Amino acid sequence: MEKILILDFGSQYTQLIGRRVRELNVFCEIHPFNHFPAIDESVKGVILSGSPYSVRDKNGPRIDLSEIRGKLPLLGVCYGAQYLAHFFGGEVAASDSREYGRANLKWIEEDNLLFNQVSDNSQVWMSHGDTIVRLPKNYILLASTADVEFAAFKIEDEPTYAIQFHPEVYHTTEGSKLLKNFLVDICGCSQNWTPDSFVEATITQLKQKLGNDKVVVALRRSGFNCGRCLVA
Amino acid sequence: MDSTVAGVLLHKAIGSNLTCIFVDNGLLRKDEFNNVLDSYKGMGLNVIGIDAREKFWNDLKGITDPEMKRKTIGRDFIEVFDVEAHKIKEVKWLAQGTIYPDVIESVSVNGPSATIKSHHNVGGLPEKMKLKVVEPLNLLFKDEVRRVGKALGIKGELLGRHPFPGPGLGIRILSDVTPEKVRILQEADAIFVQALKDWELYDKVWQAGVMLLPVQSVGVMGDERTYENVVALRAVASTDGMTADWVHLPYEFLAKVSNDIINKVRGINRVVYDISSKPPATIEWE
Repeated sequence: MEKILILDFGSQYTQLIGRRVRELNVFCEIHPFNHFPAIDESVKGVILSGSPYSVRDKNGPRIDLSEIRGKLPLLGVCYGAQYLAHFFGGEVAASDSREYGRANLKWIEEDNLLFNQVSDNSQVWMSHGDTIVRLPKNYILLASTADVEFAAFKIEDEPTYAIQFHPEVYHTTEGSKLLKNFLVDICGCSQNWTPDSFVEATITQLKQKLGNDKVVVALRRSGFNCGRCLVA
Repeated sequence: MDSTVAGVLLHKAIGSNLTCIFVDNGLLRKDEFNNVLDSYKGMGLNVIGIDAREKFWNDLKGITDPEMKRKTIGRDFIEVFDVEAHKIKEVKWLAQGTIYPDVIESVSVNGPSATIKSHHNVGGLPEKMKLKVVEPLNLLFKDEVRRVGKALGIKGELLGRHPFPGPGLGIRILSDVTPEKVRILQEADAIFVQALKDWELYDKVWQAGVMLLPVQSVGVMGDERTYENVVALRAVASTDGMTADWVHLPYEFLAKVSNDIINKVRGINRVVYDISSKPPATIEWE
Protein backbone atom coordinates (compact mmCIF):
# COMPACT_ATOMS: atom_id res chain seq x y z
CA MET A 1 0.00 0.00 0.00
CA GLU A 2 1.43 3.37 -0.97
CA LYS A 3 2.03 5.80 1.83
CA ILE A 4 3.46 9.09 2.99
CA LEU A 5 5.78 9.16 5.99
CA ILE A 6 5.51 12.05 8.43
CA LEU A 7 8.58 12.64 10.47
CA ASP A 8 7.63 14.06 13.85
CA PHE A 9 9.83 16.67 15.48
CA GLY A 10 7.34 17.01 18.34
CA SER A 11 4.95 19.68 17.08
CA GLN A 12 1.50 19.90 18.60
CA TYR A 13 0.19 19.88 15.01
CA THR A 14 1.86 16.69 13.75
CA GLN A 15 -1.26 14.54 14.17
CA LEU A 16 -3.23 17.20 12.37
CA ILE A 17 -0.94 16.83 9.33
CA GLY A 18 -1.69 13.11 9.41
CA ARG A 19 -5.43 13.67 9.54
CA ARG A 20 -5.34 16.15 6.66
CA VAL A 21 -3.36 13.70 4.52
CA ARG A 22 -5.84 10.92 5.34
CA GLU A 23 -8.76 13.20 4.49
CA LEU A 24 -7.30 13.38 1.00
CA ASN A 25 -7.55 9.57 0.88
CA VAL A 26 -3.82 9.05 1.13
CA PHE A 27 -2.46 6.68 3.77
CA CYS A 28 0.29 8.04 6.01
CA GLU A 29 2.28 7.03 9.03
CA ILE A 30 3.72 9.28 11.73
CA HIS A 31 7.12 8.34 13.13
CA PRO A 32 9.30 10.10 15.68
CA PHE A 33 12.35 11.65 14.00
CA ASN A 34 14.66 9.40 16.01
CA HIS A 35 12.89 6.16 15.06
CA PHE A 36 12.48 6.65 11.37
CA PRO A 37 11.71 3.46 9.42
CA ALA A 38 13.58 2.18 6.39
CA ILE A 39 12.39 3.63 3.11
CA ASP A 40 10.92 1.14 0.68
CA GLU A 41 8.99 1.34 -2.56
CA SER A 42 5.67 1.96 -0.86
CA VAL A 43 6.86 5.36 0.41
CA LYS A 44 5.76 8.06 -2.03
CA GLY A 45 6.97 11.07 -0.11
CA VAL A 46 8.04 12.44 3.27
CA ILE A 47 6.78 15.37 5.33
CA LEU A 48 8.90 16.99 8.04
CA SER A 49 6.76 18.35 10.88
CA GLY A 50 7.08 21.46 12.98
CA SER A 51 8.71 21.44 16.40
CA PRO A 52 8.72 23.32 19.70
CA TYR A 53 12.53 23.58 19.26
CA SER A 54 14.55 26.09 17.27
CA VAL A 55 17.00 24.80 14.64
CA ARG A 56 19.54 26.95 16.45
CA ASP A 57 19.13 24.95 19.69
CA LYS A 58 22.03 22.61 20.38
CA ASN A 59 19.48 20.06 21.62
CA GLY A 60 17.08 20.56 18.74
CA PRO A 61 16.10 17.40 16.87
CA ARG A 62 18.52 16.42 14.10
CA ILE A 63 18.20 13.79 11.41
CA ASP A 64 20.23 12.42 8.53
CA LEU A 65 18.22 13.19 5.39
CA SER A 66 20.69 11.65 2.94
CA GLU A 67 18.40 8.70 2.18
CA ILE A 68 15.47 10.98 1.53
CA ARG A 69 16.42 14.39 0.16
CA GLY A 70 16.60 14.43 -3.62
CA LYS A 71 15.51 10.79 -3.80
CA LEU A 72 11.89 11.21 -2.75
CA PRO A 73 9.47 14.13 -2.73
CA LEU A 74 9.96 15.99 0.53
CA LEU A 75 7.90 18.72 2.19
CA GLY A 76 9.21 20.63 5.20
CA VAL A 77 6.65 22.42 7.37
CA CYS A 78 7.68 25.22 9.77
CA TYR A 79 10.61 23.69 11.71
CA GLY A 80 10.93 21.28 8.77
CA ALA A 81 11.29 24.26 6.42
CA GLN A 82 13.79 26.00 8.67
CA TYR A 83 15.71 22.74 8.96
CA LEU A 84 16.00 22.52 5.16
CA ALA A 85 17.29 26.09 5.08
CA HIS A 86 19.57 26.15 8.13
CA PHE A 87 21.48 22.88 7.65
CA PHE A 88 22.06 23.24 3.91
CA GLY A 89 23.75 26.59 3.69
CA GLY A 90 21.07 29.12 4.60
CA GLU A 91 20.52 31.09 7.79
CA VAL A 92 17.84 31.11 10.47
CA ALA A 93 17.76 33.79 13.15
CA ALA A 94 15.62 34.82 16.09
CA SER A 95 13.01 37.13 14.70
CA ASP A 96 12.50 40.63 16.11
CA SER A 97 8.82 40.13 16.51
CA ARG A 98 7.50 36.62 16.91
CA GLU A 99 5.20 35.52 14.13
CA TYR A 100 1.99 33.92 15.27
CA GLY A 101 -1.40 33.89 13.64
CA ARG A 102 -2.98 35.09 10.43
CA ALA A 103 -1.01 36.26 7.42
CA ASN A 104 -1.73 36.52 3.72
CA LEU A 105 0.40 35.48 0.79
CA LYS A 106 1.30 38.67 -1.08
CA TRP A 107 3.39 37.02 -3.76
CA ILE A 108 3.40 33.55 -5.30
CA GLU A 109 5.86 32.28 -7.92
CA GLU A 110 3.87 31.50 -11.03
CA ASP A 111 3.99 28.09 -12.52
CA ASN A 112 4.95 25.96 -9.53
CA LEU A 113 3.32 22.65 -8.67
CA LEU A 114 2.90 23.22 -4.94
CA PHE A 115 0.88 26.42 -5.26
CA ASN A 116 -1.07 25.38 -8.35
CA GLN A 117 -4.59 26.90 -8.10
CA VAL A 118 -3.84 28.56 -4.75
CA SER A 119 -5.32 32.05 -4.92
CA ASP A 120 -3.43 35.32 -4.62
CA ASN A 121 -3.62 36.77 -1.15
CA SER A 122 -4.59 33.37 0.33
CA GLN A 123 -4.76 33.32 4.15
CA VAL A 124 -2.14 31.24 5.94
CA TRP A 125 -1.40 30.54 9.63
CA MET A 126 2.04 31.23 11.05
CA SER A 127 3.42 29.90 14.31
CA HIS A 128 7.14 30.41 14.67
CA GLY A 129 9.63 32.33 16.80
CA ASP A 130 12.63 32.08 14.43
CA THR A 131 12.69 33.31 10.88
CA ILE A 132 14.69 32.32 7.81
CA VAL A 133 16.89 35.27 6.79
CA ARG A 134 18.82 33.71 3.91
CA LEU A 135 18.18 30.74 1.63
CA PRO A 136 20.95 28.46 0.36
CA LYS A 137 22.16 29.19 -3.18
CA ASN A 138 20.29 26.59 -5.18
CA TYR A 139 16.94 27.31 -3.49
CA ILE A 140 14.04 28.97 -5.31
CA LEU A 141 11.59 31.24 -3.53
CA LEU A 142 7.94 30.24 -4.08
CA ALA A 143 5.87 32.57 -1.90
CA SER A 144 6.10 35.50 0.53
CA THR A 145 3.83 37.27 3.00
CA ALA A 146 4.14 40.92 4.05
CA ASP A 147 6.34 39.98 7.04
CA VAL A 148 7.90 36.71 5.96
CA GLU A 149 9.88 36.82 2.75
CA PHE A 150 10.74 33.11 2.69
CA ALA A 151 7.24 31.78 3.31
CA ALA A 152 7.73 28.92 0.82
CA PHE A 153 10.59 27.66 -1.31
CA LYS A 154 11.94 24.65 -3.15
CA ILE A 155 15.31 23.23 -4.04
CA GLU A 156 16.30 23.57 -7.69
CA ASP A 157 15.99 20.35 -9.72
CA GLU A 158 14.73 18.40 -6.69
CA PRO A 159 11.18 17.58 -5.51
CA THR A 160 12.04 19.17 -2.16
CA TYR A 161 9.59 21.81 -0.95
CA ALA A 162 9.25 23.82 2.23
CA ILE A 163 6.62 26.08 3.77
CA GLN A 164 7.03 28.27 6.81
CA PHE A 165 3.30 28.37 7.60
CA HIS A 166 1.06 25.48 8.68
CA PRO A 167 -1.04 23.99 5.84
CA GLU A 168 -2.64 21.53 8.27
CA VAL A 169 -4.51 24.04 10.45
CA TYR A 170 -8.02 25.18 9.75
CA HIS A 171 -7.06 28.84 9.47
CA THR A 172 -4.80 28.21 6.49
CA THR A 173 -7.78 28.36 4.17
CA GLU A 174 -6.22 26.63 1.17
CA GLY A 175 -4.00 24.28 3.17
CA SER A 176 -5.76 21.16 1.91
CA LYS A 177 -5.35 22.27 -1.70
CA LEU A 178 -1.67 22.79 -1.08
CA LEU A 179 -1.28 19.38 0.56
CA LYS A 180 -3.22 17.79 -2.28
CA ASN A 181 -0.86 19.41 -4.79
CA PHE A 182 2.06 17.90 -2.91
CA LEU A 183 0.52 14.45 -2.47
CA VAL A 184 -1.00 14.01 -5.91
CA ASP A 185 1.01 16.15 -8.35
CA ILE A 186 4.42 15.93 -6.70
CA CYS A 187 4.36 12.53 -4.94
CA GLY A 188 2.04 10.85 -7.43
CA CYS A 189 -0.29 9.34 -4.82
CA SER A 190 -3.43 7.73 -6.22
CA GLN A 191 -5.83 8.70 -3.39
CA ASN A 192 -7.24 5.21 -2.97
CA TRP A 193 -7.23 5.07 0.85
CA THR A 194 -10.97 5.05 1.61
CA PRO A 195 -13.17 3.53 4.34
CA ASP A 196 -14.29 0.85 1.90
CA SER A 197 -10.77 -0.06 0.86
CA PHE A 198 -9.75 -0.18 4.53
CA VAL A 199 -12.64 -2.51 5.41
CA GLU A 200 -11.87 -4.84 2.54
CA ALA A 201 -8.13 -5.01 3.24
CA THR A 202 -8.60 -5.37 7.00
CA ILE A 203 -11.09 -8.21 6.73
CA THR A 204 -8.67 -10.10 4.46
CA GLN A 205 -5.80 -9.52 6.90
CA LEU A 206 -7.86 -10.52 9.93
CA LYS A 207 -8.91 -13.76 8.24
CA GLN A 208 -5.27 -14.62 7.54
CA LYS A 209 -4.07 -13.63 10.98
CA LEU A 210 -6.80 -15.26 13.05
CA GLY A 211 -7.65 -18.32 10.98
CA ASN A 212 -10.09 -20.39 12.99
CA ASP A 213 -8.99 -19.00 16.39
CA LYS A 214 -11.44 -17.75 18.98
CA VAL A 215 -11.39 -14.04 19.82
CA VAL A 216 -12.92 -12.04 22.66
CA VAL A 217 -13.59 -8.31 22.75
CA ALA A 218 -14.82 -6.08 25.56
CA LEU A 219 -17.52 -3.71 24.43
CA ARG A 220 -16.84 -0.42 26.10
CA ARG A 221 -19.44 2.24 26.39
CA SER A 222 -16.86 4.91 25.96
CA GLY A 223 -16.29 7.52 23.36
CA PHE A 224 -12.67 8.22 24.02
CA ASN A 225 -9.62 6.01 24.12
CA CYS A 226 -7.22 8.63 22.92
CA GLY A 227 -4.26 9.09 25.20
CA ARG A 228 -4.09 12.81 24.56
CA CYS A 229 -7.66 13.22 25.67
CA LEU A 230 -7.18 11.65 29.09
CA VAL A 231 -8.69 14.62 30.78
CA ALA A 232 -12.18 14.13 29.52
CA MET B 1 -17.76 3.42 19.53
CA ASP B 2 -14.23 2.15 18.80
CA SER B 3 -14.90 -1.26 20.30
CA THR B 4 -18.18 -1.47 18.36
CA VAL B 5 -16.46 -0.80 15.05
CA ALA B 6 -13.67 -3.25 15.96
CA GLY B 7 -16.30 -5.85 16.90
CA VAL B 8 -18.26 -5.49 13.68
CA LEU B 9 -15.09 -5.65 11.55
CA LEU B 10 -13.99 -8.81 13.34
CA HIS B 11 -17.45 -10.29 13.04
CA LYS B 12 -17.31 -9.79 9.27
CA ALA B 13 -13.93 -11.51 9.18
CA ILE B 14 -14.41 -14.46 11.55
CA GLY B 15 -18.15 -14.63 12.30
CA SER B 16 -19.13 -16.67 15.35
CA ASN B 17 -15.53 -17.17 16.48
CA LEU B 18 -15.85 -13.70 17.95
CA THR B 19 -17.45 -13.27 21.36
CA CYS B 20 -18.28 -9.79 22.66
CA ILE B 21 -18.55 -9.21 26.39
CA PHE B 22 -20.44 -6.25 27.80
CA VAL B 23 -20.12 -5.66 31.53
CA ASP B 24 -22.78 -3.80 33.51
CA ASN B 25 -20.67 -2.05 36.12
CA GLY B 26 -23.70 -0.44 37.76
CA LEU B 27 -22.47 2.92 36.46
CA LEU B 28 -24.07 2.92 33.02
CA ARG B 29 -26.78 5.27 31.85
CA LYS B 30 -30.41 4.40 32.48
CA ASP B 31 -31.53 1.31 30.50
CA GLU B 32 -28.23 1.31 28.68
CA PHE B 33 -27.27 -2.28 29.43
CA ASN B 34 -30.30 -3.72 27.69
CA ASN B 35 -30.29 -1.18 24.86
CA VAL B 36 -26.68 -1.94 24.04
CA LEU B 37 -27.18 -5.71 24.19
CA ASP B 38 -30.20 -5.41 21.91
CA SER B 39 -28.42 -3.30 19.33
CA TYR B 40 -25.43 -5.67 19.17
CA LYS B 41 -27.65 -8.71 18.91
CA GLY B 42 -29.51 -6.84 16.18
CA MET B 43 -26.26 -6.60 14.22
CA GLY B 44 -25.83 -10.36 14.53
CA LEU B 45 -22.97 -10.24 17.02
CA ASN B 46 -22.40 -13.00 19.53
CA VAL B 47 -22.64 -10.92 22.71
CA ILE B 48 -22.68 -11.86 26.39
CA GLY B 49 -23.97 -9.39 28.97
CA ILE B 50 -22.60 -9.65 32.51
CA ASP B 51 -24.46 -8.08 35.42
CA ALA B 52 -21.65 -7.17 37.83
CA ARG B 53 -23.37 -4.21 39.48
CA GLU B 54 -23.18 -5.56 43.03
CA LYS B 55 -19.44 -6.19 42.84
CA PHE B 56 -18.68 -2.66 41.64
CA TRP B 57 -21.02 -1.05 44.18
CA ASN B 58 -19.56 -3.10 47.02
CA ASP B 59 -15.98 -2.33 46.10
CA LEU B 60 -16.72 1.37 45.69
CA LYS B 61 -18.40 1.64 49.08
CA GLY B 62 -17.03 4.59 51.05
CA ILE B 63 -14.40 5.61 48.48
CA THR B 64 -14.42 9.37 47.91
CA ASP B 65 -11.07 10.02 46.23
CA PRO B 66 -11.64 10.34 42.44
CA GLU B 67 -8.39 8.63 41.53
CA MET B 68 -9.16 5.71 43.86
CA LYS B 69 -12.62 5.40 42.35
CA ARG B 70 -11.20 5.23 38.84
CA LYS B 71 -8.64 2.62 39.87
CA THR B 72 -11.25 0.51 41.64
CA ILE B 73 -13.58 0.61 38.65
CA GLY B 74 -10.72 -0.26 36.28
CA ARG B 75 -9.49 -3.13 38.46
CA ASP B 76 -12.97 -4.58 38.92
CA PHE B 77 -13.57 -4.40 35.20
CA ILE B 78 -10.42 -6.38 34.47
CA GLU B 79 -11.31 -9.00 37.09
CA VAL B 80 -14.84 -9.49 35.77
CA PHE B 81 -13.78 -9.50 32.14
CA ASP B 82 -10.90 -11.90 32.78
CA VAL B 83 -13.17 -14.48 34.43
CA GLU B 84 -15.79 -14.27 31.68
CA ALA B 85 -13.27 -14.29 28.82
CA HIS B 86 -11.68 -17.48 30.08
CA LYS B 87 -15.03 -19.23 30.10
CA ILE B 88 -14.81 -19.17 26.31
CA LYS B 89 -13.22 -22.44 25.28
CA GLU B 90 -9.80 -22.13 23.63
CA VAL B 91 -9.90 -18.38 23.39
CA LYS B 92 -6.56 -17.16 21.99
CA TRP B 93 -6.99 -13.49 21.11
CA LEU B 94 -8.09 -10.35 22.82
CA ALA B 95 -9.33 -7.68 20.40
CA GLN B 96 -9.03 -4.03 21.39
CA GLY B 97 -10.35 -0.83 19.86
CA THR B 98 -6.98 0.93 20.13
CA ILE B 99 -6.77 3.78 17.61
CA TYR B 100 -3.80 5.42 15.90
CA PRO B 101 -3.38 8.39 18.26
CA ASP B 102 -2.82 5.89 21.14
CA VAL B 103 -0.11 4.19 19.10
CA ILE B 104 1.58 7.46 18.14
CA GLU B 105 1.38 8.66 21.71
CA SER B 106 3.07 5.54 23.05
CA VAL B 107 6.15 6.07 20.85
CA SER B 108 6.12 9.84 20.46
CA VAL B 109 9.14 12.11 20.52
CA ASN B 110 8.20 13.45 23.91
CA GLY B 111 7.31 10.04 25.31
CA PRO B 112 3.83 9.19 26.51
CA SER B 113 2.24 12.33 27.84
CA ALA B 114 1.89 12.60 31.59
CA THR B 115 -1.08 10.72 32.92
CA ILE B 116 -3.26 13.43 34.31
CA LYS B 117 -6.07 11.08 35.19
CA SER B 118 -5.65 7.33 35.14
CA HIS B 119 -7.79 5.95 32.38
CA HIS B 120 -10.14 3.03 32.34
CA ASN B 121 -9.57 2.20 28.72
CA VAL B 122 -5.84 2.24 28.17
CA GLY B 123 -3.68 -0.72 29.06
CA GLY B 124 -4.22 -3.20 31.85
CA LEU B 125 -5.97 -6.00 30.05
CA PRO B 126 -3.45 -7.80 27.85
CA GLU B 127 -0.58 -8.31 30.33
CA LYS B 128 -2.77 -10.01 32.85
CA MET B 129 -4.82 -12.09 30.46
CA LYS B 130 -2.09 -13.96 28.58
CA LEU B 131 -3.93 -13.58 25.31
CA LYS B 132 -2.50 -12.40 22.03
CA VAL B 133 -3.72 -8.94 21.13
CA VAL B 134 -5.35 -7.90 17.86
CA GLU B 135 -6.10 -4.23 17.23
CA PRO B 136 -7.87 -3.82 13.89
CA LEU B 137 -8.26 -0.03 14.20
CA ASN B 138 -4.75 0.85 15.24
CA LEU B 139 -4.08 2.64 11.93
CA LEU B 140 -7.09 4.92 12.14
CA PHE B 141 -7.77 8.38 13.51
CA LYS B 142 -11.01 8.97 15.40
CA ASP B 143 -12.85 10.54 12.47
CA GLU B 144 -11.77 7.65 10.26
CA VAL B 145 -13.19 5.13 12.75
CA ARG B 146 -16.53 6.87 12.36
CA ARG B 147 -16.28 6.74 8.55
CA VAL B 148 -15.32 3.07 8.64
CA GLY B 149 -18.27 2.42 10.97
CA LYS B 150 -20.53 4.03 8.42
CA ALA B 151 -19.00 1.95 5.62
CA LEU B 152 -19.74 -1.15 7.75
CA GLY B 153 -23.39 -0.15 7.96
CA ILE B 154 -23.43 0.59 11.71
CA LYS B 155 -26.41 2.72 12.66
CA GLY B 156 -25.84 6.46 12.92
CA GLU B 157 -27.26 6.58 16.42
CA LEU B 158 -24.51 4.24 17.64
CA LEU B 159 -21.75 6.13 15.80
CA GLY B 160 -23.03 9.56 16.77
CA ARG B 161 -23.34 8.88 20.50
CA HIS B 162 -21.61 11.37 22.75
CA PRO B 163 -18.34 10.31 24.34
CA PHE B 164 -18.89 8.81 27.78
CA PRO B 165 -16.14 8.32 30.34
CA GLY B 166 -14.87 4.77 30.94
CA PRO B 167 -15.67 4.89 34.69
CA GLY B 168 -19.17 6.00 33.70
CA LEU B 169 -21.43 7.63 36.25
CA GLY B 170 -18.87 6.70 38.91
CA ILE B 171 -17.05 9.96 38.22
CA ARG B 172 -20.24 11.96 37.81
CA ILE B 173 -21.26 11.12 41.35
CA LEU B 174 -18.94 13.36 43.32
CA SER B 175 -17.78 11.82 46.58
CA ASP B 176 -18.77 8.21 47.35
CA VAL B 177 -20.95 6.02 45.12
CA THR B 178 -24.09 4.29 46.40
CA PRO B 179 -26.82 2.43 44.46
CA GLU B 180 -29.30 5.11 45.50
CA LYS B 181 -27.11 7.90 44.11
CA VAL B 182 -26.71 5.93 40.88
CA ARG B 183 -30.49 5.69 40.58
CA ILE B 184 -30.97 9.41 41.17
CA LEU B 185 -28.29 10.34 38.66
CA GLN B 186 -29.55 7.88 36.03
CA GLU B 187 -33.01 9.42 36.21
CA ALA B 188 -31.78 13.01 35.96
CA ASP B 189 -29.31 12.14 33.20
CA ALA B 190 -31.99 10.37 31.16
CA ILE B 191 -34.25 13.43 31.35
CA PHE B 192 -31.45 15.76 30.25
CA VAL B 193 -30.24 13.59 27.35
CA GLN B 194 -33.75 12.85 26.10
CA ALA B 195 -34.58 16.56 26.19
CA LEU B 196 -31.45 17.34 24.12
CA LYS B 197 -32.71 14.87 21.53
CA ASP B 198 -36.28 16.18 21.63
CA TRP B 199 -35.11 19.77 21.14
CA GLU B 200 -32.72 18.70 18.34
CA LEU B 201 -29.75 19.91 20.32
CA TYR B 202 -28.05 16.51 20.80
CA ASP B 203 -25.94 16.66 17.64
CA LYS B 204 -24.83 20.21 18.39
CA VAL B 205 -23.30 19.03 21.66
CA TRP B 206 -20.02 17.13 21.90
CA GLN B 207 -20.66 15.67 25.32
CA ALA B 208 -23.38 16.15 27.91
CA GLY B 209 -24.16 14.80 31.32
CA VAL B 210 -25.37 15.49 34.82
CA MET B 211 -23.12 15.71 37.87
CA LEU B 212 -24.52 14.71 41.24
CA LEU B 213 -22.89 17.10 43.67
CA PRO B 214 -21.99 16.24 47.27
CA VAL B 215 -24.06 19.20 48.35
CA GLN B 216 -27.52 19.40 49.79
CA SER B 217 -29.64 22.49 49.73
CA VAL B 218 -32.85 23.69 51.26
CA GLY B 219 -35.97 23.82 49.15
CA VAL B 220 -39.69 24.03 49.51
CA MET B 221 -42.10 21.68 47.80
CA GLY B 222 -45.76 22.30 48.55
CA ASP B 223 -45.90 23.16 52.21
CA GLU B 224 -42.89 21.13 53.07
CA ARG B 225 -39.34 22.19 53.56
CA THR B 226 -36.91 19.88 51.73
CA TYR B 227 -33.20 19.29 52.18
CA GLU B 228 -32.00 17.39 49.14
CA ASN B 229 -29.32 16.97 46.45
CA VAL B 230 -28.07 19.47 43.89
CA VAL B 231 -27.18 18.42 40.34
CA ALA B 232 -25.17 20.33 37.75
CA LEU B 233 -25.94 20.00 34.06
CA ARG B 234 -22.93 20.00 31.75
CA ALA B 235 -23.01 20.36 27.94
CA VAL B 236 -19.94 21.28 25.92
CA ALA B 237 -19.07 21.91 22.30
CA SER B 238 -15.75 20.66 20.96
CA THR B 239 -14.20 19.15 17.85
CA ASP B 240 -11.67 16.88 19.50
CA GLY B 241 -12.15 16.95 23.27
CA MET B 242 -8.87 18.84 23.72
CA THR B 243 -10.55 22.20 24.15
CA ALA B 244 -14.23 22.72 24.81
CA ASP B 245 -16.68 25.48 25.49
CA TRP B 246 -19.95 25.31 27.36
CA VAL B 247 -22.96 25.27 25.07
CA HIS B 248 -25.28 28.27 25.16
CA LEU B 249 -28.41 26.18 25.60
CA PRO B 250 -31.67 28.13 25.27
CA TYR B 251 -33.11 29.42 28.56
CA GLU B 252 -36.49 27.81 27.75
CA PHE B 253 -34.75 24.47 27.35
CA LEU B 254 -32.87 24.81 30.65
CA ALA B 255 -36.07 25.88 32.41
CA LYS B 256 -37.93 22.82 31.13
CA VAL B 257 -35.15 20.37 32.03
CA SER B 258 -34.73 21.86 35.49
CA ASN B 259 -38.43 21.67 36.12
CA ASP B 260 -38.70 18.08 34.89
CA ILE B 261 -35.75 16.88 36.94
CA ILE B 262 -36.92 18.47 40.18
CA ASN B 263 -40.50 17.28 39.73
CA LYS B 264 -39.75 13.77 38.56
CA VAL B 265 -36.58 12.71 40.34
CA ARG B 266 -37.04 12.10 44.02
CA GLY B 267 -33.95 13.29 45.87
CA ILE B 268 -33.12 16.38 43.79
CA ASN B 269 -34.41 19.83 44.64
CA ARG B 270 -31.99 22.11 42.80
CA VAL B 271 -30.46 22.19 39.29
CA VAL B 272 -27.54 24.39 38.20
CA TYR B 273 -25.77 24.79 34.83
CA ASP B 274 -21.99 24.60 34.47
CA ILE B 275 -20.63 27.54 32.43
CA SER B 276 -16.90 26.73 32.50
CA SER B 277 -14.76 26.16 29.42
CA LYS B 278 -11.89 23.67 29.03
CA PRO B 279 -9.25 24.82 29.75
CA PRO B 280 -9.15 25.82 32.57
CA ALA B 281 -11.95 23.48 33.72
CA THR B 282 -12.27 19.91 32.41
CA ILE B 283 -15.38 18.44 30.80
CA GLU B 284 -15.95 15.95 33.63
CA TRP B 285 -15.81 17.05 37.24
CA GLU B 286 -13.63 14.23 38.56
